[in-house]
Amino acid sequence: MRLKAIRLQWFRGAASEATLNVFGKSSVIYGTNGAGKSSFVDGIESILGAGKVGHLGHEYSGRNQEKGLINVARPSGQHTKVEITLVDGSSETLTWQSSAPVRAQQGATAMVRWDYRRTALRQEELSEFIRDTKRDKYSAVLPLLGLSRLEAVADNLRKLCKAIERQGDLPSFRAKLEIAADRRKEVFGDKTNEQLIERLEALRRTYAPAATVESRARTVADVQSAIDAQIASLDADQRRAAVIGEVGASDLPGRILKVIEAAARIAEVAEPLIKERLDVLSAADGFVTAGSLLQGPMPCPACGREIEADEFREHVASERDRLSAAQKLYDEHRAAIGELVDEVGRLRNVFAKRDLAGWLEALCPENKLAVKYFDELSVADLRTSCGPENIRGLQANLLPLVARAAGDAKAFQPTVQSLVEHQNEARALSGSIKASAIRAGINRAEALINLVKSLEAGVLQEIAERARQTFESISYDIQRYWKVLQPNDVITDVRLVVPEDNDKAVEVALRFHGKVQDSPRLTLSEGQRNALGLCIFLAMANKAGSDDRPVILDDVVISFDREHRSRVGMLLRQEFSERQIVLLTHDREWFFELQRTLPVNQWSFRRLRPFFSPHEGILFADHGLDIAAAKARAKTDPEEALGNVRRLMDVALGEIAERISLAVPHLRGDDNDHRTAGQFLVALERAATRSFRKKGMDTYEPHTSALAAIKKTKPELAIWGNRGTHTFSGSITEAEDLISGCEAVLSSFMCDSCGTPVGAYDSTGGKVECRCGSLQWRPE
Amino acid sequence: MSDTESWIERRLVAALAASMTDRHLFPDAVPAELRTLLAGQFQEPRKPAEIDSIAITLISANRDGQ
Repeated sequence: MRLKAIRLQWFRGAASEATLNVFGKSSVIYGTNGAGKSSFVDGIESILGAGKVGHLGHEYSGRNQEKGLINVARPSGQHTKVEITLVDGSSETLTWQSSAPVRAQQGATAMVRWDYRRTALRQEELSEFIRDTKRDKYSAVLPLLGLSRLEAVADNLRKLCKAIERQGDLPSFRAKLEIAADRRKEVFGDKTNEQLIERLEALRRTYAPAATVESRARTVADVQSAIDAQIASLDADQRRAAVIGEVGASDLPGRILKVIEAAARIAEVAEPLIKERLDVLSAADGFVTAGSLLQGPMPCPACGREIEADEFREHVASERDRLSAAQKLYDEHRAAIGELVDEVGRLRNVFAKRDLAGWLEALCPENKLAVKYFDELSVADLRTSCGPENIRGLQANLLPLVARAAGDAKAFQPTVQSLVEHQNEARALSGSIKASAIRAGINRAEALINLVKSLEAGVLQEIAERARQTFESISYDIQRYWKVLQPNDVITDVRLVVPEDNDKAVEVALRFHGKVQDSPRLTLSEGQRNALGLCIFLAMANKAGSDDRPVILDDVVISFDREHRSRVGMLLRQEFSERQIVLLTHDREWFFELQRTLPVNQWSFRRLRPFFSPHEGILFADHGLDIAAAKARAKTDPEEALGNVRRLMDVALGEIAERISLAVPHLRGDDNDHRTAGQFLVALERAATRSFRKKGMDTYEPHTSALAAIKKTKPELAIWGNRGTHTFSGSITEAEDLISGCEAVLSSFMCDSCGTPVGAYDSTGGKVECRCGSLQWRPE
Repeated sequence: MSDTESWIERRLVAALAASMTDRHLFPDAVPAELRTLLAGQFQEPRKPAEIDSIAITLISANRDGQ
């Protein structure tokens, strides 16, 4: 969607109102340094950047840049405002009533999809992309072709993997597997699965020969029930012995050990981790406070090492990975506690059996205290909070009880010993069979995680492929533009490349005299760097231009010589005829060249008057309007009218001089851009014999009225120039005479018939004419 | 098939081929859910709680088909 107008009120150089109307056309706006051209670009940047303008981001511009954005002459009660209107009538407005800007929107404006970096390019930003780090270059290219959406997909998938791990409770299941494996090893040693199945079958034949064989889980349950039934049928002493054996066979020591080991692993990382984490957080806070304008190398606030800003990001990424690993340790610790508490709960049930009463009675006082501890222990509380103190309590109290039971069990009758042993084997077999189911669940979850990881890898590959295509496409455009700007240059094969060691980085590579260079920073001159920067910006703007957004170029040819400036015009004409370009320049020569070479049906040309004061603000040098305004002003304020018409003539005569290729003495430096109307009139008077008006079909006569108007006005303008400088006095008559004279001079260069100025069209033999050929200016 | 649907399908088929094993075959609901996520809400950054909820849905879908 194209730009219709940019309206500024008390914003930057603008006074009560300065409106750049472009009506969807491409435009060239000329103005001397300080005339206010960049205020319009600032306006666009502030709208696209939530009220901020990059080059004003410094300590003197105020919290909301109000000291830089608001015209110093703004009267009290007035607001500062930027309004951008698109050709569909939608608009976006920022208003600074106090200091923070307030945004308002009219209609669904396409501007929400614009980003400043691919919309406007200023002179000082020309080589910014080249100066950027590889990663920042990548960030600049990323929004093109919607890669940021794919980045979001990849990031969400990465997080989803971790969420599946967490929500699937995999650490807990893995801990169960580990316990079951330990138990199996403790009970069965290195026996294979087949040997375990045979053992289960042997137990079934011994204890439950009549049970139907449906599944191993069912068989082991049948065997456990049968053993329990046999134990229940024993006499009281034997039953007590069996229960003591059950206590003695507990793997509580192993489970406590697992918790201690997991806690030790956490302790290894916890303290330094927290300390470093705090350092990194302080560093990140410092970065946030300093803003995004910081560039490396700089001392890393976390470790003091000199690092690039990029490296800091990597530092944060590695910190995130380290924290994830630590989180995993905490998960494992929690799972180990879960397993321990399960066993404590099971022992609690065994201790509650009546058969154990006699054994408990006979315990020594120390063991009785341990039993008391166990009675008072809340298993539920232990599950929610099991700290080092609890572990020490379990070790000091329960382990001696288990050890005592195991010792006592050795002295029991072989029959009971055998039953207890088989009961223990059945429990271990049950754990192994349950572990198989857990293993299947873990496999299922891990398969899902692998699927999501594969998908993430696929999306990253998709990003890389699309990025490569984008880079190739942008590189193709850059090379095409470069050939237009630098047709005979020794720099060739300019392209964006992805470094082999980092797929989230981009660099500009080229050949210099046929030799491959990794970066344009190595070999290019400032002019070449800027030309390359312009090509890259235009290529990226072209790529981002599917919605026909404007391309704004502010004084981008400042470091180009005349030939290369001309080539920029050629490039815009050849490659950007379908796009809306807004070109701002202080180069009068180039402005008039563009006026001659760019198609008038697609381009409009505006001039700004030199900036006079913040009260007057930015003003366009529109002749008809200004002459009329000056005439009207002459009645009430002749001094100001005289001053206005003199400034108007400074610009208008400069334009005429450029159009007819009037030779003027070369001045030093910027003075060439600050010639006065008086200087132009002297040159025009000297050359006025080259001005002709059509007399007949192919015959011309000297344009005497033009010469007469110049002769009459030259001294008047010179007089006012001096008086205006020194005395500031002028009468109504003087003002009206001078304005009429100036009007006559300007009119003599404008065709009455076709309404176009002489010099708008080239004719044969170096002559220039108006469109219909009625006015003609011949070369010297 | 749109461009988005096309690349999602291509990547999903490749990911399924890479992660299918003898031990596990994914129920149809799993790729269907992932397809929907990729074409929709995953194209914008999601909050941790949303990701957790999606993870639970996927775990459940992956279990239900067994």
